[in-house]
Amino acid sequence: MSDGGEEDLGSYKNPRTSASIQSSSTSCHLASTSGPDEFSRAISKAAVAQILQATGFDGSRKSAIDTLSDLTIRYILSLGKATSFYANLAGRTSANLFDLVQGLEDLNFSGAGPESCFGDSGVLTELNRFVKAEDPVPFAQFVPKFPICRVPKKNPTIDQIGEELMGKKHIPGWLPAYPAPHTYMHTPVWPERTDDPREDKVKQVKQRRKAEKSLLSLQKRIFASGVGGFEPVSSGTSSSSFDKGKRVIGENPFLTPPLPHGAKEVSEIAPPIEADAGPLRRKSVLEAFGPIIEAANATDLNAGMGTDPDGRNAIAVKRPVVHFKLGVKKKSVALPLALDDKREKLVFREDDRDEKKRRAEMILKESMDNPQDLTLM
Amino acid sequence: MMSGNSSGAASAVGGDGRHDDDAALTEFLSSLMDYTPTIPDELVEHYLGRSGFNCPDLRLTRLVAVATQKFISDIASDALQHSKARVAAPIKDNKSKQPKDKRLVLTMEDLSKALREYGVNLKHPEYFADGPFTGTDPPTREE
Repeated sequence: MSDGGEEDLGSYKNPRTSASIQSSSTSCHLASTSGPDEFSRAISKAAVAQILQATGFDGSRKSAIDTLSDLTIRYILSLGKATSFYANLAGRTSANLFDLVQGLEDLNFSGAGPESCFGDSGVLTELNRFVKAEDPVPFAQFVPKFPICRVPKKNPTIDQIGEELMGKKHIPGWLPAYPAPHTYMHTPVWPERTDDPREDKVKQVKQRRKAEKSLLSLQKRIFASGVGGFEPVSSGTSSSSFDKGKRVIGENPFLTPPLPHGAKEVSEIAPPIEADAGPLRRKSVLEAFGPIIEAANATDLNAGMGTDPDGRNAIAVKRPVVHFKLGVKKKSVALPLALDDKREKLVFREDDRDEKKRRAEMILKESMDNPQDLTLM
Repeated sequence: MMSGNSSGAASAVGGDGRHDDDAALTEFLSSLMDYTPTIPDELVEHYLGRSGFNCPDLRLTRLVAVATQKFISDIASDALQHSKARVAAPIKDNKSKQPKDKRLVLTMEDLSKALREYGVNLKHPEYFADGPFTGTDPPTREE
């Protein structure tokens, strides 16, 4: 700021050039955008804008108002410097009115010689005239006292809070009080249950319905292609219920009372006579279906299944009902591929019938996986 | 000159034959308590404190504020005269500037002309852009 107030004593008599304050717009631009006194510069800018408005201006360029606000600050600084200079010259540290008037006279007012008195001093007279002429325009906003120096707030002591220390007489009262109990108490937090039983149920039902749907469509496809004979609902009289592609939904075959021995003619059910034909035997599905597949290979499947109920075909149609219960535990279709030679010969005799065989296996597996779905449909 | 000034001040303080001046001075200072300058006291106190001036008297702070306000408003009124003179000058063949000139806008040219009379040499490089819209004509930056 030393370049701001350059008092030229030689030009003291010149009324207008006693203070030559060098100001360039570039420096004030730099100072106004950032810096520690950004706040005060903003206030100064607002004050200058108010003064300009009171003077009669409608608007201002940004650079002009920056310059003027910078000039305001420099003026105050120069005046303060001059005043303190005169105070120090008189041997005082704190300035008074006379130092200020001297500073003012140095700064921009002159015409009053050293012999002039204060009452009719040019400075004070002009200022007095100004004060009387101009209406006071107070600053538009509240300005806090700045710079704000932050004093860290102390924690209240035990005495100030008036906290009761039960049985803790050894703690002096001037010590800081205990923090709030929730800051050091142990408060357990239980994990919240995220799943909703109702939602779970809805999901389950949806999944089940989807499975049923897919099974139904699969079965429809199978029956349409003529392998409907493997349907487990064939508990009625074999001739009536065995129309092609038609499913009998009337009664649950698993709930019907068992037939007395000999009431139903189940001939030639020949369980495989291997040595391992125990109850825990695996791979029974394909084994059981060996004759069926054989029959399908031998005769035309579409012609032989539904239309002619007697003979081997009829037996092949009825057989799955019996063998469902034997093979309920087994779920894999891929296992029968590792059969021994004999059954392999039975199964894979002809390749062109493989498609139908696979379908038969598929529907069998499906029905074994969820027999209740099958019966419900 | 300066020492003469201060000695004159001391003699004036010591002198007691000018009761009228003292009364006028007291009246003026007390009138400052009622006059609220546009420049806030906090700003003046802040910068006076930075310049080494310390005086708890609010009247002196007010006096500084009033002096500063007078300085600025003098400059502003001079610039206003310059601006009016420029507007009243015969308009050049630039038609587009005509509606803009209806409003009185403080520009750097007027300000620098006014400041020159107050001993402030304002050198404003004219090729410096005021803002992003300086080159384009219509929007004037207003505060």
